[in-house]
Amino acid sequence: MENTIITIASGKGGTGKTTVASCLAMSARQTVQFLDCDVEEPNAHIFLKPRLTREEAVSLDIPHVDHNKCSFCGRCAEICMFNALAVLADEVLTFPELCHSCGGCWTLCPEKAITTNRREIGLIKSGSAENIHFTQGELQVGTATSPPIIKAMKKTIQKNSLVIIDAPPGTSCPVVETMEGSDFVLLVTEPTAMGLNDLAIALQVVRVLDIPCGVIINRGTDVYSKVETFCRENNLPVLMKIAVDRAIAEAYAMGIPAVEAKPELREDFRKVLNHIKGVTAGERTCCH
Amino acid sequence: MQIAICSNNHDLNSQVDERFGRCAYFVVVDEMGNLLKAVSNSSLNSPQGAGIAAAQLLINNQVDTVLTGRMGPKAMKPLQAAGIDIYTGISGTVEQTLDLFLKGSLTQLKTANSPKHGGSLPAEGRA
Ligand code: SF4
Ligand code: SF4
Repeated sequence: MENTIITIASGKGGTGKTTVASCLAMSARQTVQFLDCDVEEPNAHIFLKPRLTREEAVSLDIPHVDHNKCSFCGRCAEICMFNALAVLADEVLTFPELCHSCGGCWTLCPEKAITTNRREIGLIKSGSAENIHFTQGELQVGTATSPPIIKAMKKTIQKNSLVIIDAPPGTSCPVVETMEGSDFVLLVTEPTAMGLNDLAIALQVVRVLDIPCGVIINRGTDVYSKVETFCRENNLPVLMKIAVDRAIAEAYAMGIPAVEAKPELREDFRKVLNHIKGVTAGERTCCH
Repeated sequence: MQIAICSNNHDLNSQVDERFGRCAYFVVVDEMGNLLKAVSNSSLNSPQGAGIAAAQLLINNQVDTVLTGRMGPKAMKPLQAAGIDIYTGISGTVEQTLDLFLKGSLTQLKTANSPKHGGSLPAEGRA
């Protein structure tokens, strides 16, 4: 069996993305690797309650200027797309928190005056909870770049497993970094005008990456049907609708996932997983 | 003396712009009120570090003084290291602001008066 990597995303925060990701992992009848890639605010651990036993630092190369060799020509500041350097008459200032470690400055410095230092940008913590191998990334406060942490987390993905990834909210670079290489993207949305707007934007990203996807409508009521119409028109399967439910909401507030508050939901989440596995298996046979 | 004034356009009658890193032009004048040049702020739309790039631009243009409204700590660092004086409290046109400066009505800025991110990008919604 090959890996099945499912990324759970939403155009915006607050749609219940993390709850859905947690419920899927808890409903699976097999070992799951769970990656919480919302590195600015990882919170899946609240629901999954893993015992975190390992910790690993993620660091980046940043420039270090040797002022004895530097001619203060200004090249490095000119080429840095991230404005992480400023060259004065007799000093080069570096702003490590802005550096994306592209290597441009030390490659192009005509005097070979730039060497590298390591700067820690975050941590990867891992551990387990029942059938779940859990990993979360934590970005150090004040750091501009989360993709390197996400990249490092994705390197921990093991072969032959079901991988569930909780993406950061939104549709910016870290989200794209998270989605890349996934077999399926599950978009979680709410049946509101705002939810629909964010769903449409998220869908564009997924379509550009050319990854099969489906939708879960959270806190659904029958009042607002435009999300479903949108899905139908865009050939986007609605894999599950989670109805507005007091018991789920109350449990959520206490950090209890929906599948524990309402165990019968497990069967619905399993159906979603089976659907996704079917789709990804089909993709493999038709495309490869 | 070269005095750079943050503005949304390129002449003496242009309105000033309080944002240091995100203003469209730095109108450079001397203390006699002569227009020396207008430097267009090429880093205006940088997703990050616009203030640093703007500071670099002014350093490269050898200005002595900057008149602005708000400045963050990152932009301030290179300007201070280069010995450029920073004044805040600009308003009206470039010409009016120069008058305020020459009358001594602007306040010299020694520490940043704008948060770390002067950026104009909307914040992402959070879970
Ligand atoms: S490119 Fe090299 S020599 Fe030129 S200013 Fe930067 S560090 Fe100095
Ligand atoms: S490594 Fe790249 S991002 Fe970092 S300072 Fe050098 S040029 Fe800028």
